[in-house]
Amino acid sequence: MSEEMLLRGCQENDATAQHELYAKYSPRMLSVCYRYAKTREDAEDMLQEGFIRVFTQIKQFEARGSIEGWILRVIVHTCINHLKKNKRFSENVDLMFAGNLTLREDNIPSALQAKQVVECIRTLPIGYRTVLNLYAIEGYSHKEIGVLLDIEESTSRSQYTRAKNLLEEILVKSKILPHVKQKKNLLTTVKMN
Amino acid sequence: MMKDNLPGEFEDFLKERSDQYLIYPSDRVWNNVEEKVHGGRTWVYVSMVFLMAFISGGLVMMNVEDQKEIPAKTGQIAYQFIENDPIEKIYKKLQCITVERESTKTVDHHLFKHNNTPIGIQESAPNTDTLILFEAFKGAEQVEIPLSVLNLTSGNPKNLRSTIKPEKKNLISTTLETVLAKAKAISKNVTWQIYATPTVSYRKLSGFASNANFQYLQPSFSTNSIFARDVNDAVRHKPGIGFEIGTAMFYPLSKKLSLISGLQINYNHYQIAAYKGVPEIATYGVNNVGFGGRVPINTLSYYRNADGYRSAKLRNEHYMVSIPIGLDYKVIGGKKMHLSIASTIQPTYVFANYAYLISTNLKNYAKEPSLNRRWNINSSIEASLHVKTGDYNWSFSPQYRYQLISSFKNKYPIKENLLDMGLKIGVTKTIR
Repeated sequence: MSEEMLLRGCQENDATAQHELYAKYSPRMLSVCYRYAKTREDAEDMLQEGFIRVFTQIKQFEARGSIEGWILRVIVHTCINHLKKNKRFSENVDLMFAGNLTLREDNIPSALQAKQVVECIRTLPIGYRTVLNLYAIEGYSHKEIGVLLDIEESTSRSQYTRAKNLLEEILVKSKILPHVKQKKNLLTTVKMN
Repeated sequence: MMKDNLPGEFEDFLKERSDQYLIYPSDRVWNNVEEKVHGGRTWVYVSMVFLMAFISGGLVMMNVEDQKEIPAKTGQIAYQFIENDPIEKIYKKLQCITVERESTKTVDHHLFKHNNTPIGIQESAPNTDTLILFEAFKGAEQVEIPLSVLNLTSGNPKNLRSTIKPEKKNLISTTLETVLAKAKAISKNVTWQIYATPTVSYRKLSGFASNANFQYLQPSFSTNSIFARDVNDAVRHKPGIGFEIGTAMFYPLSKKLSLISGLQINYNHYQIAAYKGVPEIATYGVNNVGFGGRVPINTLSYYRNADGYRSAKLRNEHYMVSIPIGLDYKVIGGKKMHLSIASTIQPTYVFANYAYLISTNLKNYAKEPSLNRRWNINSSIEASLHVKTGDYNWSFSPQYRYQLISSFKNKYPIKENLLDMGLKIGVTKTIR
């Protein structure tokens, strides 16, 4: 079924089309939810809530952008709402582990696996993780993040900087990234991959 | 979404790796989404509650007459006189006549009142059209009824024949009374039964794998060297637990033979052993679109019949409502205990169907609702042991139920006939 037929079917509340759309995008969207959620179960709850919103609001979708991008936005907003509803942002976000390490562009090893990166992101405190996900991966601006999370734009910037530093430290400690001293020439390898 | 500044290598790297990471959700998620979006099974349970309420209500109604002490019921109903009714002529100057029904085990009548003063009663049986005026009625000031016409004698009620017709009373109460009266009249020997049956549910499969007719532009395509094989060789399924609840009426045709009719709900489920797999396109048959055109019925499958990365158990569930119509024959026994055999044909509507279908090449499982048949016909046979205890008759009946038409439409080449075996436990009450 083509993307256009799929969209039309979903807008007509056709169960087969809905299932096909869900089958096509749910693995990627669950991965997105997983980055925001505390547990896998929470992630599935977010995904479920998100797809219910997708199917109930899909008539409003105007085919200006891609359907995947629209679904992603709905899912991300659902994740944020879910976190707000469960007051997850009230958790401690002190920079107790943040160091002065900086990530150099050339010290990313080629063997880094997607799963390991995502798991490292999930070890970040919830506030850091959310800002990092929104800015670095979902592509939101700090201004948009401020509106979305009800925080100042400057807070988003500082949270992101700290999150980035902390993640780098975690990646190094997890031996996913080599230590600063061992870098050089790795960027080239990454780019080739 | 605009970035404040250009993303660096770090952000690109994170995004790229994150996008590569896919997680497959559990079936629970889709089932919940489907339920929320399309209503799901909530109404199934609601229907069951209504059915149980209906059955319970029926039982309560049947039991009313058996209560030893019935509290008096008094309700006020409007009373309307009909034209040319001699009683109307008598009472036409009365502005407010009310009629109250009093009903106990020993008393059942309508009490006529004027300004809360009883002026007469109307016996419900046997002379429902007889109005008996009280002697005290004579003392009511507002009443201007010629006593000579009524011909009352002090202290002795006088029966007056009236042409009052029940249907001229309050429409609802009249209709209800009429229906109840007729039901009682025709159901003198009819018995009602409610029953519940825990069952073992299974299915009979038939058909052969096929690929050639279901592919676009590939009339002889085959990926299986032993292709044309029986579906039973490929499928691994096992029975599940189901149930049946319902109510039935037994109408005696002769001393030993009774006609059965009723309403019942069945739940059938069985399990299929499969494997979780990467999403694949599975083919299930063809749609004829006119002018000889044939379009494959394809859907996305997450489950493989073999060779997946994780084993999975699939539950195929069917919820049905049916109207059994059949005969019951008393083989042997007396009033206290007897043995009978019965058989019914059951026009059936499958109101919820959650079934995974195996693809026509026997490699994948997926749901394809367009291939499920809604209307079907079932049959059942049973042998019953009836035991009478007090006013109730209990029955214990080993039962076999078989679906006569395939669960799937003809365009799907594999046929499935559901079957259930169970012990039906019923309680029967005669309407008197």
